Amino acid sequence: MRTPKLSSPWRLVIAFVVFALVAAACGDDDTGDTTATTAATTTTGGAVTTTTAPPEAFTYRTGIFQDTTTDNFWSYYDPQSTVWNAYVLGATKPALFAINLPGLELDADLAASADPGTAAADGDGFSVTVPMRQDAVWSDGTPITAHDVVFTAQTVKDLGLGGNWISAYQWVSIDEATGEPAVDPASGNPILGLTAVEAVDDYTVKFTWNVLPGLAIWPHGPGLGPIMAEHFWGDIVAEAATSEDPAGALYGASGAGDPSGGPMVFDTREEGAFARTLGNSEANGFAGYYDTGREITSGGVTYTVGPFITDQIYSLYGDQSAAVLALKAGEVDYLYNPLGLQRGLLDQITGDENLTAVVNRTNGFRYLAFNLRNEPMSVQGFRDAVAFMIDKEYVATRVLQNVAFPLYATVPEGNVNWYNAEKADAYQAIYTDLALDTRYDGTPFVTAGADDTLGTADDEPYTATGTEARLHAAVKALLDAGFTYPGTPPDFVSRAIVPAEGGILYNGAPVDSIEILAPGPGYDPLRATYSLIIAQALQDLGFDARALPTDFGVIVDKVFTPTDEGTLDFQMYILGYSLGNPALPTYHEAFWAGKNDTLGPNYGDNATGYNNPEFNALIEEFNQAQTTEDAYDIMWQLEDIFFVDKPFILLFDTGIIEAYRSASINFPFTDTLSGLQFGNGFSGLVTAAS
Amino acid sequence: MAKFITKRVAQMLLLFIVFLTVVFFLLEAQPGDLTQQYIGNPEIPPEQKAVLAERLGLDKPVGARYLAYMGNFFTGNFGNSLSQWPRPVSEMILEALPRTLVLFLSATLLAYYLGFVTGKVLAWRRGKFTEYALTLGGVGLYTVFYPWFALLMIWGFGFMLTDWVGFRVFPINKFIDVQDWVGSPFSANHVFLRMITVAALSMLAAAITTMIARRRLELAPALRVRNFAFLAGVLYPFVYFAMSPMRPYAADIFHHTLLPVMTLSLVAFAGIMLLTRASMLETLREDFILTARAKGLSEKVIRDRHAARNALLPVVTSLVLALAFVIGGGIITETVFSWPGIGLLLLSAVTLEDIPLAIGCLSIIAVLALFGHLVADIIYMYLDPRIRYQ
Amino acid sequence: MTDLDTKATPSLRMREPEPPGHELLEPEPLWRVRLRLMRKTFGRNWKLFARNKIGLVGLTIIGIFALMALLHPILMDRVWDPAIYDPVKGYDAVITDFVIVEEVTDPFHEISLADAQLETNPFVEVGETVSIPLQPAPPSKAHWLGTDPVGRDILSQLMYSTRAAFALGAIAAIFAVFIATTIGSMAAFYGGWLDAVLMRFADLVLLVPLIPILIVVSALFNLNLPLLGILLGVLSGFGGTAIVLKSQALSVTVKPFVDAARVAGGTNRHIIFRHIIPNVLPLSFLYMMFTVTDAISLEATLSFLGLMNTPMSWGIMIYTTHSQGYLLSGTSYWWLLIPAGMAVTLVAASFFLVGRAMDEVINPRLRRR
Repeated sequence: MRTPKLSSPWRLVIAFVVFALVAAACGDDDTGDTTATTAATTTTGGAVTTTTAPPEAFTYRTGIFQDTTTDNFWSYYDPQSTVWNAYVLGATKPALFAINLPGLELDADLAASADPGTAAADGDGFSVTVPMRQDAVWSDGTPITAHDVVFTAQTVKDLGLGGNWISAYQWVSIDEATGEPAVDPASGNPILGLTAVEAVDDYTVKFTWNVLPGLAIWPHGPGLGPIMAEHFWGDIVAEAATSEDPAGALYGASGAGDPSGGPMVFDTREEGAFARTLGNSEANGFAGYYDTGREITSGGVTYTVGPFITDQIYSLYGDQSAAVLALKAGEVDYLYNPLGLQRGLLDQITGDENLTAVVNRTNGFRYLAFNLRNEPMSVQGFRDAVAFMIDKEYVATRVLQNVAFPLYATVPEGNVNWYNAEKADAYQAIYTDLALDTRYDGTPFVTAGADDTLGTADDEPYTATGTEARLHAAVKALLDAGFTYPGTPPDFVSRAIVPAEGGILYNGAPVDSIEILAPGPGYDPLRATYSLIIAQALQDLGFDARALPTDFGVIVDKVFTPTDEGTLDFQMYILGYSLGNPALPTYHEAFWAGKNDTLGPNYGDNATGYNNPEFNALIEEFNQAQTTEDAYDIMWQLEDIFFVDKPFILLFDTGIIEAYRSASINFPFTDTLSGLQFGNGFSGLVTAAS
Repeated sequence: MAKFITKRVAQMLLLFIVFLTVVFFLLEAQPGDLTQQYIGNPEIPPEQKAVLAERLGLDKPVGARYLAYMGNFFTGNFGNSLSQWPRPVSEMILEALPRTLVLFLSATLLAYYLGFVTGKVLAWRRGKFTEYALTLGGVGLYTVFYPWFALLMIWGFGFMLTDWVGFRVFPINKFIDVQDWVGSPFSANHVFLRMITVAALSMLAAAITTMIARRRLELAPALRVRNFAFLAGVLYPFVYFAMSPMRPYAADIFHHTLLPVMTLSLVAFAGIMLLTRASMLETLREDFILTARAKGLSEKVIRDRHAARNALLPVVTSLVLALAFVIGGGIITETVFSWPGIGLLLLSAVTLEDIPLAIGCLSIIAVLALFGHLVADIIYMYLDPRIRYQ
Repeated sequence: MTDLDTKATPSLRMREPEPPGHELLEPEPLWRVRLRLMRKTFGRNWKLFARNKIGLVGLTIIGIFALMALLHPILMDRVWDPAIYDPVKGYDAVITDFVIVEEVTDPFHEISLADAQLETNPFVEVGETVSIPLQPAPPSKAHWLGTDPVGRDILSQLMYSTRAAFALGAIAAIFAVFIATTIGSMAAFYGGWLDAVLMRFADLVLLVPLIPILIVVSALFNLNLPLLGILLGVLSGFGGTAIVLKSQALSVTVKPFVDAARVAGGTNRHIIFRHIIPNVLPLSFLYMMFTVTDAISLEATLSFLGLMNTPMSWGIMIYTTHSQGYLLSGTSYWWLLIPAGMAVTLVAASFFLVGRAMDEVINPRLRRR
């Protein structure tokens, strides 16, 4: 049996080989780095721009946390509209107009002037004609013309594309029964939509609608819609149109080689590992971005359009901790994340002089919603009482450790053009400056005279503020609305709430138990905690309430999916909305217009069932508004009604924290709504740090 | 022998169909569908949601979908992913499968080999300090909270070791180093597949050589051939890739494989070790061991030639259990190490309520388990003459 | 055998005059015999068990954790203020007030605007005072194991989770053993197609890796602790445990006393419940231990993946650490990761060790040579 002995040296050999390979792999890392540096130095000369301090061309290395799923822009804009795809593909397509950051002003992109004009009566409908600039080219050198715009709009119609394509190019819908344009069943008015998109000449495009479009449709519809290259996609679309599922066929096509009309050109993606884009510059063998070198002034900041980078790499990281380590190690320059960085990682960033962390306001809100179809949620006094009981300031600063900040209006303070500080402050003052002289039963507040130890023998009247005032205001709202306490009502004694005993009745009958759905602590500890606090407040008021932090999917199902009987049985829930285009807030219609009731024919997003005719009429007015000033006024009237009626109670929002490697890159500005990620990481603006 | 295998394959097919059915109806029972993902997005007009549901086939009756699915499954058509519409599920699975296979195969083989060898020694050292230390360590590894253990491994080998040595010995995350792959002529999966194929083929060649040598040669030379073939089988892939243009890429992948495979095999190894030990202890009480001792054979011969071979039987049976363990552990390994394999795909499919993708992943995992089961059966048959000569 | 003899001849003795002071000859009631035998068996088994030092260590650890679980409600009721120490809703942090200034001269009372915005929210301005809580806070007198990223007491969470883990383990083990004992005995006793069907089914359950299945299930149902316990119990009961218990039951079925019972006219039910199940039970208890081990680690794993819906558990503790970004911060936040991870590992290992020690008691072939 010599064999075992023989094998021992062999084992050593194996071990050595394994070690050698590991060493080789490590060695390769080094060589890889060196070659990258060499490449960067050699291309420096090619991409010099006309700015005073010529920025050095370099590779912009970024980190993402979820894989991109497509290289096909059509598909990204409908079924695969994830932010991760947006980060990679977002900077590859032009539009007629663009929203400049950080000021959020409308500016010309392909249009010849920044003024979109307004639609005017034209035959049966209303139309607007847009002249386009004539020097814009795709990355392969083909001119970008009005025909590309027409092609894009026509494809959306012909192939029945959905998702964001519909928001951009909303064609008039035809009633199948009559063959006529569809009408709104409620008002009898025809539903607005495009009837024609034509190329008047190579550089003039004309849009025609059946109804006079408001701001949301022009320019915020097709004016901001991405434009696709006809010479590349024409044949693919034609072929897809003949298949059984035209949209599916188009979405399934490969986007490799798709010419770009933006600062970046999509290059490649390696599933589960990385994606890469190239700068649309002559140095990379492209025709170059038509806007390169342009100076933009927005929100008080002036910057030059790039791209100043040769290429951008999006490395996939499994979790933030690992990505932050890569950031510290200098492997990446910036981390994309729609939710921002977790707080726990801040320590590591603030302690590192090579890194800079920035915090920005976001465009969204987290809210408590009521099912207005059922008692007691349908009772205005009940909702008022809940609003009084939720001390947003206290919860935000003390319980949620300042990470969250209280909200009173749906428009965030960061949205400078639409925010109305006066209104928002007035809303807040109703709660924070609440002061009452009388208790809920009408008797004045007096100090407890029985407390002789302090020598205050007499009952002295005082004005209640803070929690005491809130409690009494809430109880008064309930009593006024027809609620009664068969036992002891709640009270405020020795600086603490004494809960009601014996429950509460509505119109003499017991109130059903109330369940507050909220995301679980794993998904969002802030909202989970908030739900517990609200449930406690309701219990203090005498209601049989409990918080149910649960699975996100379960909430969505209970709130937005009607039961087989066609009802929605939830009572209250806490969720959040991230709002879309900050340049035109259009969400009031989607969330609270009566016609968008989730149980209605539209199967809309208005799950609360809120239906106020005054509000609905204002929505229609808002949709017809032709100027931003009109829209602004109407929107704040909507906010007023919303604040009083309370289908939602706004709770809080959080800032977005981001980090980048300031030792290697430089952004023209970092103070921008929803953070750097909202501008897709500024691929076209980022420069090397000096 | 052929009859035995045919019978097992047929049984497994039946089991698989039952399994698919159970899984399908389980998945069908879940609340909600894709349209709900769009509900949170106010940008999409309400009427579009119904169109979407129709286009995604969510309005067809359950029975029809079930029949179609079963039919499709055996023709390799897993349907289209809902979260990455209209990408075929099979394409996504094929993309992720090689990465999982590498993890799975190397961890299983390593864990098995090490577990058996250590277990064997352990049983022999009953009552000695080695036994206590290794048993306790084994139980610790066997019952350790695996995600936690994996994190500690990353922390220890990824960070502490890097700090200590001064350079990164083990990459901590992902399966390739992005910087090295930019502009690579090969896709990562291409290299991956090549690595698996070469390794599998050379191991197969080694196995066949061994088998032929066994039939044709005396015991002693046959053993020498076996050892040599085994070594060559292990070494050949390294030689192959050292010569191939894929060298830096294969080395990069191999480098990234080390820590996750090590972590997973360590945990799986513990179970095998404990089992081998128990099995050896039982075998050592058998009469033939007493006979062997009486014959005056050396302890090592008794251990390796008599006891271990018989003790291997229940250990092989337990391969099935170990497979399940490695698969479950594999999912966690993939999560912790950001290893984009089937496990991670399943996890994301479940969070996105992507029914076809989830079924696809689970089915592939089941196929993997079944296949492992079959291999275990064949090995068992090979080891146990009672079945071989039936 | 003496007991049987005395029972066999009762009439004979009754005729004899009763000698005074000989009450002991009176046949003992059956329950007392059983109790005595049980005590004797237990004593003997305990000696066997106690010989296994590793098993004793396991039992001790379980005892300590059980004590912690029992202590928690008492502490919450008597000692700890729920507002601070509640494992889920509690909150406590040392809050320091800082004045926002342009240039920081006194770092203990002043903070720069940029830092203040990062630490709190983007709305703060120079001149304002912000309160910044210290969390997660390191161990202190008030919080022996510190606080978590949301300011909750780690020790309280650990103790509360112990209760949850034991409850989960108990549910899973009871379900598993009940089902496995029943179907194992039935399969062994009746054989035939029932045996075939049950055992094929067990094969199937055994074959499927638990974690992927549970991942999928977590998407279908609101996966909380009781449901997970039942699910694990059922899966284990129908799977591996059933197979083992069946083979044990099979060895009992062929014992002479079963035949004797059958000849004596015992019904099937009588035989299964009186003879087979009692003889399978010791092994069942053994498998209970292993089920507990599995249940505890699986729960923690699922929580770690963020798939469990439970207010607090060891897994949730690690998940919180993970989701708040403290995972790879090395040793600086050790109290977030080590206690919870150790608890899962220790308790799971202890049940396993106790199970193995019991195995040596029940299975004589494993005893020391």
